[in-house]
Amino acid sequence: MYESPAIKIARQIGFWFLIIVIAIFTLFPFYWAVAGSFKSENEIKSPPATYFPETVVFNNYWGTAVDPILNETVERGVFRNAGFLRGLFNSTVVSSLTVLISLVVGAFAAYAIGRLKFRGRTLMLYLVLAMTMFPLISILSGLFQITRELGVFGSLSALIITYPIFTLPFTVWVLVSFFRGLPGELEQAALVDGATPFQTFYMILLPLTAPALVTTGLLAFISAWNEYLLAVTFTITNSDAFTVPVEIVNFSGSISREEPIAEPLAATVIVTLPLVVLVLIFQRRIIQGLTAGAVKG
Amino acid sequence: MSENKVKREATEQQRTIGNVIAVLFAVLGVGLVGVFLFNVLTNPNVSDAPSTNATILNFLDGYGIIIPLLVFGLGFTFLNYARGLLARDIITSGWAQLTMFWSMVGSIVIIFIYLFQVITTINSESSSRVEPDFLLIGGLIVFGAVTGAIWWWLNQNREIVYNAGEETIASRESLTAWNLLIPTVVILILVAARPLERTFIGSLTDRTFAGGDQEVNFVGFQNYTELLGFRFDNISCTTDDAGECVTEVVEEEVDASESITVDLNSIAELEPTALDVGLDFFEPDTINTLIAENTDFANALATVAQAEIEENTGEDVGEVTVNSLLEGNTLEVTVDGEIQEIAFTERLTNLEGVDLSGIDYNYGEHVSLGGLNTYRIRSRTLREQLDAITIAEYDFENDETIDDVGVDGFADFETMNVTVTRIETRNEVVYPNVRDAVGESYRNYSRVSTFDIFGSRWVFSARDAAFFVAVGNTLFFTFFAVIAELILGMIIALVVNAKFVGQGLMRAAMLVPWAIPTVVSAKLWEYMLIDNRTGLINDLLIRLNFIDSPIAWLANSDFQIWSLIFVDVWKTTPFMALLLLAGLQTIPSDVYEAADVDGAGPIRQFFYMTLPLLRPTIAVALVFRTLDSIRAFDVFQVLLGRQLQSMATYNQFVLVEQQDFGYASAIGVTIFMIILIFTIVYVRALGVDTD
Repeated sequence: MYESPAIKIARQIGFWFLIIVIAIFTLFPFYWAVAGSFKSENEIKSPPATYFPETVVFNNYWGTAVDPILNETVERGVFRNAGFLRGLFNSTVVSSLTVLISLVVGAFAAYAIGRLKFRGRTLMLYLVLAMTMFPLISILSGLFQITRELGVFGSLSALIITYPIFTLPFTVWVLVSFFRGLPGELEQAALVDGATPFQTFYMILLPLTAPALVTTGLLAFISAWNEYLLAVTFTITNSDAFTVPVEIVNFSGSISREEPIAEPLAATVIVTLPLVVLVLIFQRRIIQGLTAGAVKG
Repeated sequence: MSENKVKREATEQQRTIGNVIAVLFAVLGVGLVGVFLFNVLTNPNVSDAPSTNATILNFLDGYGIIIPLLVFGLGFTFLNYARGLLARDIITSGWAQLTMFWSMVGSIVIIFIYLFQVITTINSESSSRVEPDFLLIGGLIVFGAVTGAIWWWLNQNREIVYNAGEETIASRESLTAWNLLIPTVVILILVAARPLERTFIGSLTDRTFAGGDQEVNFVGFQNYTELLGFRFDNISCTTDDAGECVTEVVEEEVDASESITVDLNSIAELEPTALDVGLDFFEPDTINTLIAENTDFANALATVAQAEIEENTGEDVGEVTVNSLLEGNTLEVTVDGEIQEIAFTERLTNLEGVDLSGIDYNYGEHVSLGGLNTYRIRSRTLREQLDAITIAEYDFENDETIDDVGVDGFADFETMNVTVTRIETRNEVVYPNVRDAVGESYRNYSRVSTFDIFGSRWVFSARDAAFFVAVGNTLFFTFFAVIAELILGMIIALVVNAKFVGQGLMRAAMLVPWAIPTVVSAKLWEYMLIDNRTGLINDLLIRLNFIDSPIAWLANSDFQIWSLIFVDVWKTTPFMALLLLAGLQTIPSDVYEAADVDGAGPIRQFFYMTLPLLRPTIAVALVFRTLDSIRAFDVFQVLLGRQLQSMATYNQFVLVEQQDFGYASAIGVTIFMIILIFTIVYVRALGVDTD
């Protein structure tokens, strides 16, 4: 079809306009958080809202402020907030261990389901698929009870033990489809050379799955890092075991009787930043991993 | 490798050890079952239960079904292994080796978790600290060492000692497969199957965590009847003697926020009274201007200051002049030629005892906008005066009778935001109280909603109204959120599908809302939805003239659930778009080229080609998103807490806050059933390929 140059230009303008609208829609809240984290508590609380910080302050991250009630200078900022720092540490420990467990255990299972023949294979596959869709909330009270019986309730171990319930099935599912995509000649060659199935797995196939391991590890990390339901239920009695999401919800500032806004915004920036960086670096892989189950190429 | 193929003869010693291992397996099998039975029989809940029924039920509550099955299954399997090992069966020896290996790994893992537990709680308060139990650790170490040694020995000598039978490729594969699957199976049993079973069994009990060790009773389906009991009642209107429905005049206030323009001079006409003027309402600059320019005001202030000083010192002082108001609420005054600073007191703040009515005091000139807005809130008299002026002006301009106005604030010196209230009256049919109409049988029910069908009134009520409300909220939320996400996601996917510079960047940007924690996004939106102009949304809408005064998005029940839907849509639409985008990119471009040649326009192309071709992707995306929304927890919990609950937050609330394990389990099972039915119906209806 023939298009006059004017229509072409109009279409281009319309297209870029839409792109910009979409970009603003997705990214503006982050700008708002970043801008807010550099505003003073006073500025952020006085209407109308400002779209740029009038004066850039850093004491939401690291600094001091005058406490009007105690009338003395106190430390202020998320990096001086012991609770928040402990939350970061806890989340890192829990998420890393969850990823480690899911990857090791999940790669084993995925190889078995994806490449080996044994009785019960289809059953295992369907079990794993059912688990990926499983509503966690349904077994919350069962998990609650079991963490109490195991004596881990209120500690980080409760989270490390229970988090594989949502990371493991997903990891297995994605890795199975990856293992199935590898050419079968590899194993036959290994078999001819006298390798056992396990040797074939860890010497030949596992190195090949490194990209898929990175992707699924990343997805598992993000979902463990973001998890809130189990974290808030199992650590409610012990603030020492709060993970970052719980810490952010219960965020309290260092100034007495102040309900800070700018400071938790700084906290959200700190929590979001590593995820944004990871997403920017691994964008292509994450999308592949996410759509692996949903779209058939 | 090849030397392994040659069958070597086992030495006498190796055979003896092989037999010992077989015996060990037999002991392990019998011991496992024995320890379990001993544990069950010495459990007072089971052995001393008053009736056979109670015994069975307490057994189920304590041990479930999975654990006994596992114990007996493993016990039998181990005995079988012992038999096979004595017969020197090579395949059995492989499974024995597997068992030993994973027993060793299992004990190491438990030791690690235990030590982790000890280390991470070492600084905690004594209540949550885990004291190391050396007997347990020692036992685990011994067990791990023994099983590890057996595994090691089997690994070295298995093929020599056990030479009956033949290992095939298939049997080796099967062995390897299960070797690799054991950890997954164990984890799934521990964190999925067993909790699921506990939840099911627990939902039949009245177990609570509140108040220490309480006796647990089986209550059958009582939790479910309490949770799900509902009824519909048709109630008829109250009739008078003639049998007609009684009607009643209902007055309803209609609020309409408006910005109206007010002549500044009319503000200047306001009469200040003693109570109206307060210094803390104003910026120091304003007060200082007043002090400098308005002698009457300065004198009035000085009078109060004098009274204050006299009261403080207990002596009479001479002439007092007020110099200025300093930062930090102190007043600089000159007393008998000496400069003093006095702190603000209640008396000074309110200018008590001073009649300001004679003072020429022009609000319009001296009072800053912020001061005036604060003043509005603090001073009832001023507010009434403003209201009177406003009503007069409003009536005059709009020629409409209004019943009340409320001044919300000053947008600028000429524009005032006003809530105008009109009272509308209408006749409404009177219905009796549901309880009165239905009678005693209604006792345990409370109303969920009322609706009219064909002129008759129906009341839907439930034993647990909160649960039904939560289910309603969740379904409403899911329906609108998923539809909005699908439509918006589709638009975004179609736009981003075009080839353009920066497509990769755009896709990365779209991933960001998905990647950040839901909690963080909810918190972020909580600040943006604040009910005044410090919130982005209110400020933006006011600037764009969509609304006149800020809206309490999260407190006003008309907007609450829509705010949640909006936050959810923002967070998940980009993800939906990415799924659809991936689907779009699998459609070969020659399809479109053919359509172009045939002259089909873009809209026809979308509805007749893109949509049908994308159908599988849409179906999968819809299923994913719907199941996700139905179990929504984070966004509800963070933004609205207990004000408006979803099924998940209600369940968590009953479990954690009310500590009612049995009831919470029943809710969990019900949610599970709802989601299961939903999934089956949905997957069938959409024709998702489950393969």
